[in-house]
Amino acid sequence: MNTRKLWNGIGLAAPVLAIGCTLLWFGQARALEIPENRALFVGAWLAAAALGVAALVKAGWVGRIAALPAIVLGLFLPFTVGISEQILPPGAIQVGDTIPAFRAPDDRGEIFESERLRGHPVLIKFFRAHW
Amino acid sequence: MQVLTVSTDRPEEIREGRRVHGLQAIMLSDRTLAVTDAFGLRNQGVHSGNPRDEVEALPVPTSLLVGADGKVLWMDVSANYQRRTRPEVVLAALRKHLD
Repeated sequence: MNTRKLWNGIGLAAPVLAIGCTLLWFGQARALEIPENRALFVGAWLAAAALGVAALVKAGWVGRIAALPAIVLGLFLPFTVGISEQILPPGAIQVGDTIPAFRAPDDRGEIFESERLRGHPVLIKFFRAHW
Repeated sequence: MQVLTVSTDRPEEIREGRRVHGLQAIMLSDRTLAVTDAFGLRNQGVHSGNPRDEVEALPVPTSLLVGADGKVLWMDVSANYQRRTRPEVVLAALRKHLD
């Protein structure tokens, strides 16, 4: 009985760890302060997932239900860290290179020609997407 | 100083972002990655975009400062998409290269 209670407690603690860690992560993302070394985050998420799996096996129904979000978050977020590495192709532009000519539609659907940039310094930002 | 953005967003999505964030930059829609490829900035790692977005790949998040002569003076490339260039890093580069 006491063991069941202990495992229910672990099942309840696991999502607290996973959700707390996730909230901290998105807070840091908003402040552009995701650390270079993300191992601590990954470790905490995986620990939450592991506790969740253990609770799923050993706890009562309260602990089992609580363990599910810990497992989902605890595995999904390390997965996003794993696939986040960015790799440039050979021949990527470098400092000192002249930028290529380009044309593309702007947000009004009108075609912008890079010729218009000539004679002015410009800051160009490539980003992934709005989502 | 002009600011130009390139993303794979559709023009209507960019218009919405411009409205919400009050942006004044020239904002281009690069659905085919033609501009991204011209600069050689197509990510070769795992394509982790929105699956409903129907684009082949995404650019590596990159900031480029280009002089009036068209040459790249400074650039910053994200090693992973979860880390972005902080505004003060870009501002320091602007001061260093354009003052």
